[in-house]
Amino acid sequence: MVLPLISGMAKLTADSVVRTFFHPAWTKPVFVVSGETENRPDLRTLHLLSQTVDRALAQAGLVPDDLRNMRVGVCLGTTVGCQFCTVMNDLHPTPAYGRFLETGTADPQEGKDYLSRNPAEWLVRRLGLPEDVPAVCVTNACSSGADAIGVATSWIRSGRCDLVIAGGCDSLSAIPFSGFSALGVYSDNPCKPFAEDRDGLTLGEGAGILILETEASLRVRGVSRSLAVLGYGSSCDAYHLTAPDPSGAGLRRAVQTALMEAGVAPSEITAINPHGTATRNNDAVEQQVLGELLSTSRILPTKNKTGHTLGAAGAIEAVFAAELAREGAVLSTSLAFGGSNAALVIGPADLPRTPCVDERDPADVPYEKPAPGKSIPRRASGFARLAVEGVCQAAQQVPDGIARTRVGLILATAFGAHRETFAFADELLEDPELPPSPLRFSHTVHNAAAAYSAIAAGIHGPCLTLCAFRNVRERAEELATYWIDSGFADAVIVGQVDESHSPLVCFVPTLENMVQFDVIARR
Amino acid sequence: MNRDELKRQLKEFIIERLSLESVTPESIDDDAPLFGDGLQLDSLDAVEIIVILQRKFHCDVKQIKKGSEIFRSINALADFIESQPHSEP
Repeated sequence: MVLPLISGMAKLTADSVVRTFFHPAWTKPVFVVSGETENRPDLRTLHLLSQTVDRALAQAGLVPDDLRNMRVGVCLGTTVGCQFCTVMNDLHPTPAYGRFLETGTADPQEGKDYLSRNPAEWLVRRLGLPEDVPAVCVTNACSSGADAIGVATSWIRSGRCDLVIAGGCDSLSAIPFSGFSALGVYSDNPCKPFAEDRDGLTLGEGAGILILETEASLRVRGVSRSLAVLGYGSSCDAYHLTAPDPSGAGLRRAVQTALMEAGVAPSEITAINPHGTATRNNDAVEQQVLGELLSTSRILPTKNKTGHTLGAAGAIEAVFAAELAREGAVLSTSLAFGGSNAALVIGPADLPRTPCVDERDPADVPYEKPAPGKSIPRRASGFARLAVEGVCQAAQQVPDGIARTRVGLILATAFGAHRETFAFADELLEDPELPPSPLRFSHTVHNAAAAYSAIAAGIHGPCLTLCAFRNVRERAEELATYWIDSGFADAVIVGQVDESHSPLVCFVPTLENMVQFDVIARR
Repeated sequence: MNRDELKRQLKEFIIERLSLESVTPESIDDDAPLFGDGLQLDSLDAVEIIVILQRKFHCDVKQIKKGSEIFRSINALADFIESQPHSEP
């Protein structure tokens, strides 16, 4: 059994709290990395990423040249990092977008630059690695960082890679700031996770990186490491676009799956780094589920120190968990927009492992296919509508007799919800003094399409959105096959969605609508 | 702007922003509940309506609490808009 050992780790989080990072009319706190001067969210995200990767590699005892002789992968969670050109943090359009707004055209070179800024693929080039190493971003909103580490563990366990640079990165950006404010969940003060008087989240920025490596690879380098990512779980509520399922059933399944893979009993968990965003709904569900399942009272939230770093949060919290894991297994949980839940168990590699007991949800019911021609959820945007149609059609191929919690979804995309992001940016630029549409904000998140699809097709198993320009569909299919082979799911609906639209088509003239989904199932 | 015109505009904004595809302004009863039965809107629609009040009707929404009476019906929303010092769209 191959364990993903942690050979190096690092996190970079805010060192100050300021109130006027964005537009002067907006006075709410944000946690910032004060040395970072880049004002453009996509480039700022890459700066935070590269500093953190350098430190994690150094801790692993590696320089980039060493990686050329290894089978390496890169898997990163992000939100802002895959939004590319929209608005600057001082609410000006980014240069290429500004020119598009003025002239209606775009420079092909800018299109090329645009295509080169997926953080995972950018890191591959920065480290001088071959172009064909597996490199994807997970764009699963607030659970992205934890999910990226989960995907990385599958690359190690399946023998796909000797070493994976895994984690997440996100900078502050005006888009989520104004969006969460308009949703009414942004606190006027630094957030207070799990406090009785908590009143919402506070955004932050940063990056968290784990270098995951096989024992064989470490042995060749003459290095030994004692911590490992023991288990990963993922699930989808299929309940509501922005609110968690108040029953907590989805989060419970994700935690149980991670414990099962880890071979760790709930009573052996010594501490928890929870998601703890300090919104009323999130903390209530988390407190209930963690209290019911686990016996430890060491629940140690960290967003009051780091802020909510969105796609980086799950990774930064995994690093906090790893720092606590020398004495015993530590659980880290993430609840995302769109109803995705993720859980990681990190602990000593030599922890005695109890045989896995598969405790299926007693209330689980067989998967019910969506009726052909079932109506698309009312609010779904253009990109999401394409996905919902493709997923519901493919769902007809799911074999009979599979439980609904064992049906997963992997949505691959090169560009994600760009039309929606541009529409939101336009509204923001039109009048920054007024709040933008919270619904439009919810559609800028790449995984809104997967969330709408999961709700429409009744998918309750693991649910991920992967974003990359190269081979993203192949990566998604590979992962789906691994999920089936390892028993993580019994059927996975997997495919790609991309939408051709203005202004994106100016940057990428060859872009055409693409919707293609298939089912990979246990035989 | 008279009250009928205000309610018509309000309904048009709500239909457009909440993608109520098969609904027309005429089919919304001014006293029918917006949430629960009636139009079956939810909490995400409620925050969208708050932004409509701000962007389109220049309302001050600081005092609006969750489950507020103003969301009861189109008439209740119109009462709230008319109670504002500057409510012209």
